[in-house]
Amino acid sequence: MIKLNNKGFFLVETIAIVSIVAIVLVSLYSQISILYSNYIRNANYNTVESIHAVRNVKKYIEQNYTATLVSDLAASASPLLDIKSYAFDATGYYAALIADSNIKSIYFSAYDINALLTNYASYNINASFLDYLKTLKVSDSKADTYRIIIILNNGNYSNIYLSVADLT
Amino acid sequence: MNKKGFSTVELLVSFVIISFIAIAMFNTIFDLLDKVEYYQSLSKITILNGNVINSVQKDMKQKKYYGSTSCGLNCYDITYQDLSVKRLKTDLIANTVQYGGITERLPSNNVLNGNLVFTTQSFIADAGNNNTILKFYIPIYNEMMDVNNDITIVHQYDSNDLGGLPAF
Repeated sequence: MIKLNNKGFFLVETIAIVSIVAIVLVSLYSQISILYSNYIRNANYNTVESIHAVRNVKKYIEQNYTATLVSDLAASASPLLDIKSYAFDATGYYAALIADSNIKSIYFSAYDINALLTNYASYNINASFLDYLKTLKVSDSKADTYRIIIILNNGNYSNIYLSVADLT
Repeated sequence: MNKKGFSTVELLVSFVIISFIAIAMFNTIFDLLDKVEYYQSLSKITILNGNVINSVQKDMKQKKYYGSTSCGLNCYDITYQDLSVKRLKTDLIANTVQYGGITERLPSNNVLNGNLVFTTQSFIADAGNNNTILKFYIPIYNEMMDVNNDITIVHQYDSNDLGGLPAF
């Protein structure tokens, strides 16, 4: 009489196990990829260099030009005012400050940028900048507070508050 | 007959499958190892850059800049209005950056690839406003990833505000 050896697994059982393990590994990989890309992206936000650069810009604007920017922002159709090319002074000081600080773009906006995030497509904002702006979303509002947002040439982002109340 | 064990064909098929998987994983693992090494180096250079920038900016803000003198190639003695002096120096051979009493060696794969640059630009400004932009620039190059991790320190000040001290 032939005695059959029934140890081992069916092919179907093996395929089922391999499929389950593969699904678990793919899910883990996708989660780790998201974590990794978030880390890489956030490494460019609020670096020491960009924080000091935006602080320098704020220091310059606070001297004489806050009222100008506030009124220009109020009159502007866009909630984000590009102030890199502003002719604040005729001496070249502002341009030199931007060049020395390796600044690529400077924006002036209200404290609450939620409206900007809702209608970003209307304001010609690229995906990378939009990702940064999303980190600035707020749940409150401050009428006399504004933001200066900068982008450095190396892709670093930073922002700083500018409060009109502090100047009085 | 003893039927335990594997047949030659089964062994060959298993080896072929495992070698395909191993080859596919090698590239991924080597890439990951390179990336881990790069990001470890990046975080170390980011910390070093941050320390240098923060230390100098803190002194500039708290002690107020008075003047600088050259102490040789890639060396400046910065004098503050409390008459304290701190040396900012880079050593291209030792690959170190020194500020005050602290000397830091650059992390591996990062090299000083140029001289320490110190510039001041003066402008006409209203009384009481900043009229001078000072800049220290330390070029640092990451050999592994072919990117620059330069240190840029920009400071604005009023050259007429010397805290009662004579001209430097």
